[in-house]
Amino acid sequence: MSATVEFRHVTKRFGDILALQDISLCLENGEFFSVIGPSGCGKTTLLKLIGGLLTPDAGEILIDGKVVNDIPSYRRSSNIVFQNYALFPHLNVFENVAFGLRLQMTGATASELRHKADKALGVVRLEDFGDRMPGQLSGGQQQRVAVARALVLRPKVIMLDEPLAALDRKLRKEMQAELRRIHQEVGITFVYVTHDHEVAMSMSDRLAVMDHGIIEQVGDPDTIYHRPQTRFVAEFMGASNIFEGEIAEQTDGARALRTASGLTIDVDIDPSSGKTMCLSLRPELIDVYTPDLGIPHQNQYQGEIVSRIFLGNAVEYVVRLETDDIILSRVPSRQLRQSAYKPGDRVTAGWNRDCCNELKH
Amino acid sequence: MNRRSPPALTIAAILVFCFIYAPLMVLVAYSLNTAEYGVGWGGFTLEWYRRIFEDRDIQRSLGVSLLVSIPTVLVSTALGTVNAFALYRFQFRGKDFYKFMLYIPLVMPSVVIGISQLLLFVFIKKELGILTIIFAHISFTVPLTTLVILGRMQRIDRTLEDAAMDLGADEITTVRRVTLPLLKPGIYAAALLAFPWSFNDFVITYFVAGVGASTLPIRVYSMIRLGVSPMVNALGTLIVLIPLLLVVAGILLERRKI
Repeated sequence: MSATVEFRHVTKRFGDILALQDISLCLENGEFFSVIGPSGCGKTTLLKLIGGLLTPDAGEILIDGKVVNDIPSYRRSSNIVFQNYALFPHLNVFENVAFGLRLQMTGATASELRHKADKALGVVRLEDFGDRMPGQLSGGQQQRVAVARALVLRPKVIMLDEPLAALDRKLRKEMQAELRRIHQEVGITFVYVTHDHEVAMSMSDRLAVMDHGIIEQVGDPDTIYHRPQTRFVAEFMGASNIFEGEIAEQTDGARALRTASGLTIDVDIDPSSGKTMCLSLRPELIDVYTPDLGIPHQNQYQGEIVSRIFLGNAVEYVVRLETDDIILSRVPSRQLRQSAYKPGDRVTAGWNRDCCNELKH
Repeated sequence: MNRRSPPALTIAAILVFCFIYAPLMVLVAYSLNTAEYGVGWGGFTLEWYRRIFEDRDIQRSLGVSLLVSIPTVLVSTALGTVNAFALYRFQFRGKDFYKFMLYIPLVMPSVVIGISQLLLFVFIKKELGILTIIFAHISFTVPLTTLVILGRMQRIDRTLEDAAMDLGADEITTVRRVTLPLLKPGIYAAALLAFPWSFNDFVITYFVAGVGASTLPIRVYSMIRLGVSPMVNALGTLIVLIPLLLVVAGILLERRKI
C-alpha cells in the first residue's frame, strides 16, 4: 500500500498558539482513517491543512507523493465534507453536486455532467432529489448531498469534519453505516475527524488520537483501545483505571506493581525501563463479586461499593478498596441478581494479571 | 405567541400611525379635489393628474431626475459592493476609522453637505449641471449602499467560500459563482434604497444644480412659490408613492433569508 497523504514534521501556529506540533503521519491508500481528540486539539487544523485551506508554518504535506504546500486548495485532489455541510443555498442539489464537476471537466457536455452527478447522487441514495433546494432537505439528506458533492470529483482523499454531530442519535447510526458502505464502494481514502471515540472505533481502519496539537498514538481501533500508550489515550477512549507505582519482583519471579497506597498488582508485563511503571486497566476487565464466591483471579482486593450506575447492558460500580484506591468496574448485566450490589456492600474486585496495560508515561 | 396586545397599546399604535400618515392622507385627498384654491372639498377629480402628464416642464424635470438617479444608483451600488468587500475581506490600516467615517454622511445635515459640495465644485471650477448633481448624489449614497451590502455580507457563511475553493473554484470564480449570487439580495436592496435617496433629495441638489438642471423636487419647490395648486398635490402624491413602493420592495428583498 502506498501513502495518499503524508505529513512530514508539520507545524502550524495561530499567533502564539501552537495548533500542531511537529506532526508526522502517513495515510494509506483507501483506508478509513479517523482523527479524534477533544475540541481544540488540532484535528480540524490537520484536516484544513490537507485541504489547503491553511498552509503549514513548517514541514511538508504530500498528497499522492507530491509536496502540496504551495498548491492552493482549488488545485488539490482532496475534498472536505464540512461540519455544517456548506451546501450552496442558491443552487439546487444537482447544481451543488455539479459545481466542482463543471470546473473539473471543462468542456463536458450537459449529459456527461448529468450522468456523473446522478451517479454520485445514486451512491448516497438521493437520485430523485436533484431539483430540490438544500433548504428543503433534512439534516441527513443535506449531509449526503455534501458527501456526493465531494465524491463526484473522485479525489484522492475525502475529509469529513464531525459530519454526524448535528444529527440525532438514530440518524447518526444510519449515516455511520452509510458512510462505511460508501467508503467500501468508492475505495477513496477517508479522513474522519470527530471527538466521539465510539464512532471512530466502529468505523475506522486506523485512528490517531490527538491532544494539544500532538498525535498521542496512531493504530487500529483494537490497539488504541486495549493498548493505549499514554494516560491521555487511555482516558480519552472511555474511562480507565490508572495505577502508578514501583516495580516489584514477586517470589515466584513474576512482576508486580506496588503503588504508594500499598496496593500490589501482579502483572504480565516486562517493564520497559526504570523502576516505576504506569498501568491502565479497562473497567470491563474488573469483576465485582461477593467475597464468598471465590473466583480465582490473580489480583483480588477487598472493598466497598461507593456508587452504582445502571447503564442497561452493564452496571458500573465505583469501589473503594481497603487501601483507599478508587476503582471503576463495569459488569455486564445479565441477570438482576448480579447487578444487585448496593452502595455500602462489601465486595471483592478482581482481575487477571494479563488485563493490565503499560502506559509509556 | 397568540397573546392579544392590551387595548392601550393598540390605541397608541394607531395614533402613531395616524401621526405619520395623516399629512400624506390630506395630500392625497387634496390631489383629488376639484376646488382649485382654498381648503373646501369641491368634488372628486383626476384632472390634476391629467395635467401633470401634459405639463412639459414637469416631464423635463422628471427626465432630469431620472438622468441623475439612475447613474447615481448604478455607480453607488457598484462602489458600495467594492467598498463592502474591502471592509469585510481585507485588513488594512485605518479600517475602523474608515468604517466609522461611513456613518458620518448619514447624520450630517444636508445643508452642510450641499454647501461643501458647492464650494468644492466652485473651487475646482466645475460648471454646475447634471454632472455635478450626479457626483453629489453618488457621494451621499455610497455610505448607504456600502453599509447595506456589508450587512448582508456579514451574514454569508464563510465556509461556503471555503467549500467553493475546496471544490476547485479559484478566488474569482468563487466570488462570481458563490459570493455575488448570495450577495444579490443585498445589492438589490441597496440599489432600491439608494434610488429614493437620490430621487427625492432636494437640499443638496438645490445647492449643486445650477440654473439649467432642475430635478423634480426642485420643480415642485418652484411651483409652490406661485401658490399651492392641486397639481402640486397630485405630483407630491406620485413622488411619495413610487419610491415608497421601491423601498418596500427593497426591505422585502433584504429580509429574504439566504
